[in-house]
Amino acid sequence: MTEQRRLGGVLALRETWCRPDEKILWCCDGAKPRFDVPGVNPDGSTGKGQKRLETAFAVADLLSGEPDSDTGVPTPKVIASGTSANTEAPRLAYAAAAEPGLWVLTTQRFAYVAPVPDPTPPPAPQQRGLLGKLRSQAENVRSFVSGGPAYVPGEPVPVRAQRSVFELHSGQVTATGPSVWKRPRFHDLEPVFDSFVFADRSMLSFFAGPGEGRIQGARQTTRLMPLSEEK
Amino acid sequence: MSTRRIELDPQLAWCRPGERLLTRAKPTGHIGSSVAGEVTAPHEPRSATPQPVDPAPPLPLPTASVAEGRFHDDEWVHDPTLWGWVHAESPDRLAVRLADPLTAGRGEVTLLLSTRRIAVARTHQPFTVWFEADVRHVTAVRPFGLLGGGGQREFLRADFADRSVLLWQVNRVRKEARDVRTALGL
Repeated sequence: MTEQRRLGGVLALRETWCRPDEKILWCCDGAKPRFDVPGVNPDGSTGKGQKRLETAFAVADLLSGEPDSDTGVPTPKVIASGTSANTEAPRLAYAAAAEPGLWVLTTQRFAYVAPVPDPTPPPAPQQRGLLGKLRSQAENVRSFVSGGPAYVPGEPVPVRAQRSVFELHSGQVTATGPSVWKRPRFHDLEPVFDSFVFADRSMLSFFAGPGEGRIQGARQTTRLMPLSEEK
Repeated sequence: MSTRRIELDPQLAWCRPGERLLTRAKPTGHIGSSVAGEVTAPHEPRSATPQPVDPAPPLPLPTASVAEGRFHDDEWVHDPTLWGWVHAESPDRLAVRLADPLTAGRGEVTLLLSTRRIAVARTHQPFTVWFEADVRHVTAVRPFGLLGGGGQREFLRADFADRSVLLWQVNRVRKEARDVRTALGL
Protein backbone atom coordinates (compact mmCIF):
# COMPACT_ATOMS: atom_id res chain seq x y z
CA MET A 1 0.00 0.00 0.00
CA THR A 2 1.27 3.50 -0.81
CA GLU A 3 2.05 5.83 2.06
CA GLN A 4 -0.19 8.87 2.27
CA ARG A 5 1.32 12.25 1.48
CA ARG A 6 1.77 14.60 4.45
CA LEU A 7 1.74 18.37 4.32
CA GLY A 8 4.77 20.38 5.46
CA GLY A 9 5.19 24.15 5.67
CA VAL A 10 3.22 26.66 7.67
CA LEU A 11 0.26 24.46 8.64
CA ALA A 12 2.59 21.68 9.78
CA LEU A 13 4.34 24.26 11.97
CA ARG A 14 1.00 25.49 13.24
CA GLU A 15 -0.25 22.04 14.14
CA THR A 16 2.88 20.38 15.49
CA TRP A 17 5.37 23.07 16.49
CA CYS A 18 3.76 26.44 17.30
CA ARG A 19 2.28 27.30 20.64
CA PRO A 20 -1.39 28.31 20.37
CA ASP A 21 -0.69 32.02 20.85
CA GLU A 22 2.44 32.04 18.66
CA LYS A 23 2.08 33.89 15.36
CA ILE A 24 4.22 32.97 12.39
CA LEU A 25 5.55 36.25 11.03
CA TRP A 26 7.84 35.01 8.28
CA CYS A 27 9.23 31.78 6.93
CA CYS A 28 11.47 30.65 4.12
CA ASP A 29 12.76 27.36 2.75
CA GLY A 30 16.25 26.35 3.79
CA ALA A 31 18.99 26.43 1.14
CA LYS A 32 22.74 26.11 0.90
CA PRO A 33 24.15 29.34 2.36
CA ARG A 34 26.79 31.65 0.94
CA PHE A 35 29.22 32.90 3.55
CA ASP A 36 30.39 36.53 3.51
CA VAL A 37 32.76 36.11 6.43
CA PRO A 38 36.49 37.03 6.64
CA GLY A 39 38.59 33.87 6.51
CA VAL A 40 35.72 31.76 5.24
CA ASN A 41 35.24 30.85 1.60
CA PRO A 42 31.80 31.59 0.10
CA ASP A 43 31.01 27.88 0.19
CA GLY A 44 31.69 27.71 3.92
CA SER A 45 35.12 26.05 3.83
CA THR A 46 37.83 27.76 5.82
CA GLY A 47 41.08 27.06 4.03
CA LYS A 48 42.61 26.56 0.63
CA GLY A 49 42.07 23.06 -0.60
CA GLN A 50 39.84 22.19 2.32
CA LYS A 51 36.89 19.94 1.67
CA ARG A 52 33.73 21.87 0.91
CA LEU A 53 30.96 22.22 3.44
CA GLU A 54 28.78 19.14 3.29
CA THR A 55 25.14 20.12 3.04
CA ALA A 56 21.86 18.36 2.57
CA PHE A 57 20.83 20.51 -0.37
CA ALA A 58 20.62 19.50 -3.99
CA VAL A 59 22.45 21.01 -6.94
CA ALA A 60 19.42 23.20 -7.68
CA ASP A 61 19.85 24.79 -4.29
CA LEU A 62 23.50 25.54 -4.94
CA LEU A 63 22.44 27.65 -7.90
CA SER A 64 19.95 29.49 -5.77
CA GLY A 65 18.29 32.63 -7.04
CA GLU A 66 18.49 33.83 -10.60
CA PRO A 67 21.81 33.91 -12.45
CA ASP A 68 23.05 37.34 -13.26
CA SER A 69 22.85 37.85 -17.03
CA ASP A 70 26.14 39.75 -17.16
CA THR A 71 28.36 37.86 -14.79
CA GLY A 72 26.61 34.51 -14.63
CA VAL A 73 26.99 34.66 -10.84
CA PRO A 74 23.94 33.11 -9.27
CA THR A 75 22.18 35.04 -6.56
CA PRO A 76 22.35 33.03 -3.35
CA LYS A 77 19.13 32.23 -1.52
CA VAL A 78 20.74 32.55 1.91
CA ILE A 79 23.72 34.71 2.88
CA ALA A 80 25.41 34.55 6.27
CA SER A 81 27.63 37.52 7.05
CA GLY A 82 29.63 38.39 10.12
CA THR A 83 33.06 39.41 11.38
CA SER A 84 34.09 35.81 12.06
CA ALA A 85 32.84 32.25 11.70
CA ASN A 86 32.03 32.26 15.41
CA THR A 87 29.42 34.99 15.17
CA GLU A 88 25.75 34.10 15.39
CA ALA A 89 24.68 34.19 11.74
CA PRO A 90 27.46 31.93 10.33
CA ARG A 91 27.02 29.52 13.25
CA LEU A 92 23.29 29.22 12.51
CA ALA A 93 23.94 28.87 8.79
CA TYR A 94 26.38 26.00 9.37
CA ALA A 95 23.85 24.27 11.63
CA ALA A 96 20.99 24.70 9.16
CA ALA A 97 23.01 23.42 6.20
CA ALA A 98 22.96 19.91 7.58
CA GLU A 99 19.34 19.13 6.66
CA PRO A 100 16.46 20.54 4.61
CA GLY A 101 14.03 22.61 6.64
CA LEU A 102 12.34 25.96 7.10
CA TRP A 103 13.65 29.17 8.61
CA VAL A 104 10.88 30.73 10.65
CA LEU A 105 10.33 33.89 12.70
CA THR A 106 7.40 33.90 15.09
CA THR A 107 6.29 36.29 17.77
CA GLN A 108 8.36 34.19 20.16
CA ARG A 109 11.16 32.42 18.28
CA PHE A 110 13.61 32.58 15.41
CA ALA A 111 14.26 28.98 14.43
CA TYR A 112 15.27 26.47 11.84
CA VAL A 113 12.70 23.71 11.75
CA ALA A 114 12.85 20.33 10.05
CA PRO A 115 10.51 17.35 9.77
CA VAL A 116 10.66 14.77 12.53
CA PRO A 117 12.42 11.78 10.95
CA ASP A 118 10.19 8.85 10.20
CA PRO A 119 10.83 5.68 12.15
CA THR A 120 12.70 3.18 10.03
CA PRO A 121 10.02 1.36 8.05
CA PRO A 122 9.90 -2.42 8.22
CA PRO A 123 11.36 -4.04 5.12
CA ALA A 124 8.81 -4.23 2.33
CA PRO A 125 7.66 -7.74 1.55
CA GLN A 126 9.49 -9.10 -1.46
CA GLN A 127 7.34 -8.92 -4.58
CA ARG A 128 7.33 -12.42 -5.95
CA GLY A 129 7.27 -13.24 -9.59
CA LEU A 130 7.14 -11.07 -12.70
CA LEU A 131 3.60 -9.81 -11.97
CA GLY A 132 4.60 -8.70 -8.46
CA LYS A 133 7.64 -6.83 -9.76
CA LEU A 134 5.60 -5.12 -12.47
CA ARG A 135 2.97 -4.10 -9.89
CA SER A 136 5.67 -2.62 -7.65
CA GLN A 137 7.24 -0.71 -10.54
CA ALA A 138 3.85 0.62 -11.66
CA GLU A 139 3.20 1.92 -8.13
CA ASN A 140 6.55 3.73 -8.11
CA VAL A 141 5.89 5.29 -11.52
CA ARG A 142 2.37 6.36 -10.49
CA SER A 143 3.72 7.96 -7.33
CA PHE A 144 6.47 9.78 -9.25
CA VAL A 145 4.18 11.08 -12.01
CA SER A 146 1.55 12.38 -9.58
CA GLY A 147 4.14 14.09 -7.37
CA GLY A 148 3.71 11.54 -4.62
CA PRO A 149 0.84 9.74 -3.03
CA ALA A 150 -2.43 11.68 -2.96
CA TYR A 151 -4.38 12.97 0.01
CA VAL A 152 -7.32 10.72 0.82
CA PRO A 153 -10.81 12.04 -0.12
CA GLY A 154 -13.06 12.52 2.88
CA GLU A 155 -10.17 12.62 5.35
CA PRO A 156 -8.30 15.65 6.74
CA VAL A 157 -4.99 16.38 5.05
CA PRO A 158 -2.35 15.03 7.45
CA VAL A 159 0.66 17.13 8.37
CA ARG A 160 4.22 16.07 8.94
CA ALA A 161 5.44 16.67 12.50
CA GLN A 162 8.16 19.32 12.79
CA ARG A 163 10.95 19.86 15.30
CA SER A 164 13.44 22.64 16.01
CA VAL A 165 16.93 22.05 14.68
CA PHE A 166 17.76 25.13 16.74
CA GLU A 167 15.84 28.08 18.04
CA LEU A 168 16.53 31.46 19.59
CA HIS A 169 14.24 33.75 21.48
CA SER A 170 12.92 36.22 18.92
CA GLY A 171 14.38 39.05 21.03
CA GLN A 172 17.85 37.86 20.00
CA VAL A 173 17.07 39.17 16.52
CA THR A 174 17.83 42.84 17.04
CA ALA A 175 16.59 44.11 13.67
CA THR A 176 14.82 42.95 10.54
CA GLY A 177 14.45 44.61 7.19
CA PRO A 178 15.18 44.49 3.48
CA SER A 179 18.76 44.57 2.27
CA VAL A 180 20.32 44.60 -1.19
CA TRP A 181 23.11 42.31 -2.35
CA LYS A 182 25.52 44.49 -4.29
CA ARG A 183 26.84 42.81 -7.39
CA PRO A 184 29.91 43.92 -9.33
CA ARG A 185 28.00 45.90 -11.95
CA PHE A 186 25.00 48.13 -11.92
CA HIS A 187 21.61 46.49 -12.29
CA ASP A 188 18.12 47.92 -12.53
CA LEU A 189 16.78 45.39 -10.09
CA GLU A 190 19.27 44.48 -7.39
CA PRO A 191 18.32 41.29 -5.58
CA VAL A 192 16.59 42.16 -2.34
CA PHE A 193 16.82 40.06 0.78
CA ASP A 194 14.88 39.76 4.00
CA SER A 195 17.59 40.26 6.59
CA PHE A 196 17.87 39.42 10.27
CA VAL A 197 20.52 41.10 12.39
CA PHE A 198 21.81 39.64 15.65
CA ALA A 199 23.34 41.32 18.70
CA ASP A 200 26.90 40.71 17.45
CA ARG A 201 25.99 42.57 14.19
CA SER A 202 26.15 39.37 12.15
CA MET A 203 23.33 38.98 9.66
CA LEU A 204 21.33 36.29 7.88
CA SER A 205 19.75 37.33 4.59
CA PHE A 206 17.18 35.43 2.53
CA PHE A 207 16.54 36.10 -1.15
CA ALA A 208 13.13 37.74 -1.54
CA GLY A 209 13.17 38.65 -5.22
CA PRO A 210 14.58 41.15 -7.70
CA GLY A 211 13.79 44.53 -6.24
CA GLU A 212 11.07 43.21 -3.96
CA GLY A 213 11.56 42.69 -0.23
CA ARG A 214 8.94 41.02 1.85
CA ILE A 215 10.03 42.68 5.05
CA GLN A 216 9.26 46.36 4.96
CA GLY A 217 11.58 47.46 7.73
CA ALA A 218 9.08 47.00 10.53
CA ARG A 219 9.97 44.96 13.61
CA GLN A 220 6.69 43.10 13.35
CA THR A 221 6.84 41.71 9.86
CA THR A 222 4.63 39.24 8.12
CA ARG A 223 5.33 36.43 5.75
CA LEU A 224 1.63 36.54 4.89
CA MET A 225 1.76 39.99 3.43
CA PRO A 226 -0.53 40.34 0.40
CA LEU A 227 1.15 40.78 -2.93
CA SER A 228 1.85 44.42 -3.60
CA GLU A 229 -0.95 46.04 -5.47
CA GLU A 230 -0.26 47.18 -8.99
CA LYS A 231 -2.02 50.28 -10.11
CA MET B 1 -24.04 6.72 -15.77
CA SER B 2 -22.14 9.83 -16.79
CA THR B 3 -23.76 12.17 -19.25
CA ARG B 4 -21.85 14.21 -21.79
CA ARG B 5 -22.10 17.84 -20.75
CA ILE B 6 -21.88 20.75 -23.13
CA GLU B 7 -20.08 23.73 -21.64
CA LEU B 8 -21.59 27.03 -22.72
CA ASP B 9 -19.66 30.28 -23.14
CA PRO B 10 -21.01 32.69 -20.48
CA GLN B 11 -20.22 35.64 -22.74
CA LEU B 12 -22.78 34.26 -25.20
CA ALA B 13 -25.16 32.46 -22.86
CA TRP B 14 -25.33 34.94 -20.00
CA CYS B 15 -24.03 38.39 -20.90
CA ARG B 16 -26.46 40.96 -22.23
CA PRO B 17 -25.71 43.34 -25.08
CA GLY B 18 -22.96 45.72 -24.00
CA GLU B 19 -21.96 43.50 -21.07
CA ARG B 20 -18.48 41.95 -21.01
CA LEU B 21 -17.34 38.91 -19.07
CA LEU B 22 -14.23 39.90 -17.06
CA THR B 23 -13.29 36.73 -15.26
CA ARG B 24 -14.59 33.28 -14.47
CA ALA B 25 -13.46 30.63 -12.02
CA LYS B 26 -14.62 27.12 -11.32
CA PRO B 27 -14.14 25.91 -7.73
CA THR B 28 -11.55 23.16 -7.67
CA GLY B 29 -11.50 22.82 -3.90
CA HIS B 30 -13.34 23.74 -0.75
CA ILE B 31 -14.32 27.19 0.39
CA GLY B 32 -13.70 28.10 4.01
CA SER B 33 -15.55 30.82 5.86
CA SER B 34 -15.35 33.09 8.82
CA VAL B 35 -18.90 34.32 9.38
CA ALA B 36 -19.75 36.33 12.49
CA GLY B 37 -16.46 35.14 13.97
CA GLU B 38 -17.20 31.46 13.43
CA VAL B 39 -14.72 29.56 11.25
CA THR B 40 -16.14 26.75 9.11
CA ALA B 41 -13.94 24.79 6.74
CA PRO B 42 -15.35 23.48 4.52
CA HIS B 43 -18.03 26.19 4.41
CA GLU B 44 -21.57 24.99 5.00
CA PRO B 45 -24.21 26.77 2.89
CA ARG B 46 -26.51 28.94 4.98
CA SER B 47 -29.15 29.59 2.31
CA ALA B 48 -31.29 27.28 0.17
CA THR B 49 -29.39 26.38 -2.98
CA PRO B 50 -30.18 24.14 -5.96
CA GLN B 51 -28.60 20.73 -5.95
CA PRO B 52 -26.10 19.77 -8.64
CA VAL B 53 -27.21 17.23 -11.22
CA ASP B 54 -23.83 15.54 -11.23
CA PRO B 55 -22.10 16.24 -7.88
CA ALA B 56 -18.33 16.45 -7.83
CA PRO B 57 -16.41 13.56 -6.26
CA PRO B 58 -15.42 14.05 -2.61
CA LEU B 59 -12.21 15.92 -1.84
CA PRO B 60 -9.71 15.53 0.95
CA LEU B 61 -10.78 17.63 3.94
CA PRO B 62 -8.86 20.66 5.23
CA THR B 63 -6.09 20.15 7.78
CA ALA B 64 -7.25 19.81 11.38
CA SER B 65 -5.88 23.19 12.43
CA VAL B 66 -7.84 24.99 9.69
CA ALA B 67 -11.02 22.91 10.13
CA GLU B 68 -10.98 23.60 13.87
CA GLY B 69 -10.14 27.28 13.50
CA ARG B 70 -6.80 26.83 15.27
CA PHE B 71 -4.81 29.18 13.05
CA HIS B 72 -3.82 32.82 12.91
CA ASP B 73 -4.75 35.42 10.33
CA ASP B 74 -4.61 34.05 6.78
CA GLU B 75 -2.66 30.84 7.39
CA TRP B 76 -5.54 28.98 5.70
CA VAL B 77 -3.98 29.88 2.34
CA HIS B 78 -1.46 27.09 2.94
CA ASP B 79 -4.20 24.45 2.99
CA PRO B 80 -4.08 22.68 -0.40
CA THR B 81 -7.76 21.70 -0.22
CA LEU B 82 -9.01 25.29 -0.08
CA TRP B 83 -9.95 27.12 -3.27
CA GLY B 84 -11.48 30.12 -1.54
CA TRP B 85 -12.42 31.88 1.66
CA VAL B 86 -15.20 34.17 2.87
CA HIS B 87 -15.12 36.80 5.59
CA ALA B 88 -18.50 38.23 6.63
CA GLU B 89 -20.19 39.73 9.64
CA SER B 90 -23.39 37.74 9.10
CA PRO B 91 -24.73 34.98 6.82
CA ASP B 92 -26.86 37.36 4.76
CA ARG B 93 -23.82 39.21 3.38
CA LEU B 94 -23.04 39.05 -0.30
CA ALA B 95 -19.83 37.02 -0.02
CA VAL B 96 -21.73 34.29 1.83
CA ARG B 97 -24.59 34.39 -0.72
CA LEU B 98 -21.96 33.68 -3.38
CA ALA B 99 -20.11 31.06 -1.35
CA ASP B 100 -23.30 29.06 -0.69
CA PRO B 101 -23.97 28.05 -4.32
CA LEU B 102 -20.25 27.79 -5.06
CA THR B 103 -20.07 25.20 -2.29
CA ALA B 104 -23.30 23.36 -3.04
CA GLY B 105 -22.66 23.21 -6.77
CA ARG B 106 -18.96 22.39 -6.83
CA GLY B 107 -18.21 20.54 -10.02
CA GLU B 108 -20.98 22.22 -11.95
CA VAL B 109 -21.02 25.92 -11.12
CA THR B 110 -18.72 28.77 -12.09
CA LEU B 111 -18.14 32.15 -10.49
CA LEU B 112 -18.69 34.85 -13.12
CA LEU B 113 -17.76 38.51 -12.94
CA SER B 114 -18.85 40.84 -15.71
CA THR B 115 -18.97 44.58 -16.23
CA ARG B 116 -22.50 44.50 -14.80
CA ARG B 117 -22.95 41.47 -12.55
CA ILE B 118 -21.27 38.98 -10.27
CA ALA B 119 -22.91 35.57 -10.35
CA VAL B 120 -22.73 31.87 -9.73
CA ALA B 121 -24.10 29.87 -12.62
CA ARG B 122 -24.26 26.37 -13.95
CA THR B 123 -22.45 26.81 -17.22
CA HIS B 124 -23.43 23.49 -18.71
CA GLN B 125 -26.55 23.15 -20.77
CA PRO B 126 -29.11 24.18 -19.63
CA PHE B 127 -27.31 27.35 -18.51
CA THR B 128 -28.79 28.23 -15.10
CA VAL B 129 -28.01 31.21 -12.88
CA TRP B 130 -28.02 30.14 -9.24
CA PHE B 131 -27.33 33.57 -7.78
CA GLU B 132 -26.40 36.98 -9.11
CA ALA B 133 -25.92 40.52 -7.86
CA ASP B 134 -25.16 43.92 -9.31
CA VAL B 135 -21.41 44.38 -9.80
CA ARG B 136 -21.69 47.82 -8.20
CA HIS B 137 -21.63 45.97 -4.85
CA VAL B 138 -17.97 45.23 -5.59
CA THR B 139 -15.91 48.01 -4.04
CA ALA B 140 -12.39 46.66 -4.52
CA VAL B 141 -10.54 43.88 -6.32
CA ARG B 142 -6.94 43.10 -5.49
CA PRO B 143 -4.39 40.34 -5.63
CA PHE B 144 -3.77 38.40 -2.47
CA GLY B 145 -1.29 35.66 -1.78
CA LEU B 146 2.07 34.78 -0.49
CA LEU B 147 5.40 33.60 -1.64
CA GLY B 148 7.49 30.83 -0.20
CA GLY B 149 6.65 28.21 2.39
CA GLY B 150 5.99 25.43 -0.08
CA GLY B 151 4.83 26.94 -3.31
CA GLN B 152 2.96 29.93 -4.50
CA ARG B 153 -0.79 30.23 -4.16
CA GLU B 154 -2.50 33.34 -5.37
CA PHE B 155 -6.03 34.56 -4.80
CA LEU B 156 -8.21 37.33 -6.12
CA ARG B 157 -9.86 39.26 -3.31
CA ALA B 158 -13.20 41.01 -3.89
CA ASP B 159 -14.49 43.40 -1.24
CA PHE B 160 -18.20 44.16 -1.21
CA ALA B 161 -20.12 47.20 -0.02
CA ASP B 162 -21.57 45.22 2.92
CA ARG B 163 -17.98 44.71 4.22
CA SER B 164 -17.94 41.04 3.29
CA VAL B 165 -14.98 39.60 1.37
CA LEU B 166 -14.63 36.70 -1.06
CA LEU B 167 -11.24 35.29 -2.03
CA TRP B 168 -10.76 32.70 -4.73
CA GLN B 169 -7.76 31.06 -6.32
CA VAL B 170 -6.66 32.26 -9.75
CA ASN B 171 -3.64 32.10 -11.97
CA ARG B 172 -1.85 35.29 -12.99
CA VAL B 173 -3.53 37.17 -10.18
CA ARG B 174 -1.91 40.53 -10.80
CA LYS B 175 -3.11 40.69 -14.40
CA GLU B 176 -6.61 39.50 -13.43
CA ALA B 177 -6.87 42.12 -10.69
CA ARG B 178 -5.57 44.88 -12.93
CA ASP B 179 -7.93 44.00 -15.77
CA VAL B 180 -10.99 43.81 -13.50
CA ARG B 181 -10.15 47.06 -11.74
CA THR B 182 -9.68 48.84 -15.03
CA ALA B 183 -12.96 47.54 -16.45
CA LEU B 184 -14.94 48.41 -13.32
CA GLY B 185 -13.19 51.75 -12.75
CA LEU B 186 -12.09 50.73 -9.24
